[in-house]
Amino acid sequence: MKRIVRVIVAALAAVAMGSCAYFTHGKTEEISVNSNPPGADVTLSNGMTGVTPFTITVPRERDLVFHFSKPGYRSTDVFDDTQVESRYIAADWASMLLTAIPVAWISDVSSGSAHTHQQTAITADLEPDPTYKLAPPVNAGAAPEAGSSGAQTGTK
Amino acid sequence: MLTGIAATRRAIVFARRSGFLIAAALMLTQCIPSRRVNVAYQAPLRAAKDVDPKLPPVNINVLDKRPTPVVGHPIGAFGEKEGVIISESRAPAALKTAFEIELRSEGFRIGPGGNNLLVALSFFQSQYLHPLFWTRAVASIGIEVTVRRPDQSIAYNEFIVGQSEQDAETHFESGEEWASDVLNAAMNDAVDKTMADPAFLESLKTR
Repeated sequence: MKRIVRVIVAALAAVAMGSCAYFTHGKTEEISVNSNPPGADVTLSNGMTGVTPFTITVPRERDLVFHFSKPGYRSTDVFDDTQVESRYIAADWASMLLTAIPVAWISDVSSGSAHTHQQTAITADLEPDPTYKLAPPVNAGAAPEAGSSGAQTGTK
Repeated sequence: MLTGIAATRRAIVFARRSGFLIAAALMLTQCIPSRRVNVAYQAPLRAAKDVDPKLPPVNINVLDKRPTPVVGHPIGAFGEKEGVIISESRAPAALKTAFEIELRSEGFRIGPGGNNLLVALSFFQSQYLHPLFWTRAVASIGIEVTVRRPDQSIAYNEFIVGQSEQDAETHFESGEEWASDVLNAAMNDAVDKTMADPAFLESLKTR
């Protein structure tokens, strides 16, 4: 009887160990985004946006690209791919071999919890664009308002 | 009592063998070769406007700013990336064709002597998510669209993100077919968003 209890306890421990990514990590992580100079518009490849500096919560599993733009500066892109952490793969394998119950693997892989972004702090250095010059407003004849740029610039 | 212990031992042996079989099956799925896809713009069917001689011509240039032509990765049983998915057709050429088709259908002539449309391709990538349950294939494309007057001043500048998403079934589908579908849909989304912006078309109508 004791032996059966030990086997059950070992199995539960292995399942819990393998699933730790889901319980300890969660499905999202925070990434801090900065630029030199600050105040750049940032658009992520998943459609999220922000103005530097800011911190954003993103899905762990999703590869991301951060596009930085600021009038008068050359835009730049920072790629931040995700990868599965090998320690979680090892734990899931161990759990599966010990118990033959793939619960840990299913919970970690299905949720994307075992992934981590390569960078969790991103900083972009923006270079001034010496050729930057806005065209006059399209509706010729009307004087541009103070602060009006004439041309439309931004992010969609 | 002895029978109970024997049964437990048999159960443990069976569980271990099953575990090894599952592990072997997973090992086999790791052997995913690199794949190739074709990306192309799928123009929607609609009536095109006649060429308007009053409109200045548009010269289109597409700049590929991507660090790599890789558009995705097949994934293994743990969601890890294996190999690469590469586009056989050139994504910038597909993008240029897309804008040529759409601007012609709005009555513009394509060629030199007018405004310059510069499309900078920042990223174009697909991904397969949640490879066991609730699986999805997603793709996104980022293009910086700039309209420059003949004197090189900027009349329009926007960063457009096109996205697409489709449901999938198992991680065995993490190959080229879903990648091709979602990539092409993302490109269509980006072109649609650009063409739907009145400021974009307005900037091209003035020389």
